[in-house]
Amino acid sequence: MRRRHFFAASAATAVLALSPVLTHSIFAQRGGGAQGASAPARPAPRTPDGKVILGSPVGGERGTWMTVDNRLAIPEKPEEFGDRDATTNFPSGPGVFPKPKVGQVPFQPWARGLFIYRTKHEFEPYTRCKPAGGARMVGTAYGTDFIDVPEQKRIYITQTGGPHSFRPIYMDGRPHPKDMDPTYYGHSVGHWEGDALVIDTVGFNERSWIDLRGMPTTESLHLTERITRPDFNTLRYEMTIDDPEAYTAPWTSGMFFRWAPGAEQFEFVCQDGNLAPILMIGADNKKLDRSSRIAP
Amino acid sequence: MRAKVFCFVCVWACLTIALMTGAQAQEGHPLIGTWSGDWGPSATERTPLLIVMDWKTTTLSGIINPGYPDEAPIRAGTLDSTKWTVHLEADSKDERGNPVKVVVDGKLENIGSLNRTLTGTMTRGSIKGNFKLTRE
Repeated sequence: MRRRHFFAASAATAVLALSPVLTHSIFAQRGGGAQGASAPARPAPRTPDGKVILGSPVGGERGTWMTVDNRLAIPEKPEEFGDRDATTNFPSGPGVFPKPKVGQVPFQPWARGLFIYRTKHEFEPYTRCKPAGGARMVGTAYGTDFIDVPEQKRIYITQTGGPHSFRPIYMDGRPHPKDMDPTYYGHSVGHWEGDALVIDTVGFNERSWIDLRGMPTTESLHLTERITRPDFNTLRYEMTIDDPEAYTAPWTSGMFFRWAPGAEQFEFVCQDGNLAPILMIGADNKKLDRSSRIAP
Repeated sequence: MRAKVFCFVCVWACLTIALMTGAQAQEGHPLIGTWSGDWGPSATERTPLLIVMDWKTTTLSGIINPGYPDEAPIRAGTLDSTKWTVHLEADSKDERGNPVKVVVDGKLENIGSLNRTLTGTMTRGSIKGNFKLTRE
């Protein structure tokens, strides 16, 4: 029984570790980029009043969103490559999300230094089951869903991996609170601009990374996310990071998500199942640091 | 009177530490937070050392040994994020109230860890020694 659990945990770990590679590979085999489906994509599902449905369509059709290459910037120089980048090809061409190169990201000097450090010493809080906001919250492992509850005037973004948590987007027109205690996900308000869900978030704490590669952010972060569903199988996620403490100017990146038909979110307990030492501490076990009794 | 001052200093120091420990899992600027350890001219002559640092855009600020008689507000500080070296200059006073210059040169290590370290040399007036600090 124990052995079965061990193998299940190991398999989950392997999938988690390889998910950026696997999703990219699968996606590339289907033609690459957002237009990668072999069959003609259906139009995005809509509500009776014409609003785009970002999550599972009405009627019980099952599926979930899997991220495609959730890096926010493309490395070029040797020091910008992490252990996992060396084995991953970078997609390019039409239909691929236009990400900046790492050298184009307007880092403050300390933030670039920290980002470079993190590419070599992967110590991601998310892999230690900590919540992570922005792109990392949406670009989680095992699938993401969007649940629109018009009666509540809220949209919930739910994640399977990581801390298996959710983020409410307040759609009722409320402003951000004036005095907020910073939190992992911050405070999100949203509105529709045509078919695009635009989310404005402030109030982040500094206890997690905004993406899996460790783009530094501070409590000054103002995040704007723009989410569209250009066809049934494709979700386009764009985010603009405005954080003058970490970057000299706002900058934009994003990713595509692929609809995984038939898949559904499932119970995932990170604290039980995440045995990903490679993601936590780097591929070289000599980097193992257990000096901290509390996960960072 | 002396006891009162001592109590005040203790309470003030405890409050400072308690407030700063709220930012334990700090993934932002790696210098922000409370750093504790010791320093001294030799392995046997050591004195507790506490540095509280903050960073705003391009400016480092903070206090060395806040709440203690040798308290020294940081006047200037730089971080070289290509080598992770830190240089601090602070102004303090000796027992007679005369100005004393404090200079700290250190290197950040184990940056990804909650308990990252800062080690190097510190000069306080005519006393030169080494220090090791761990972020709390």
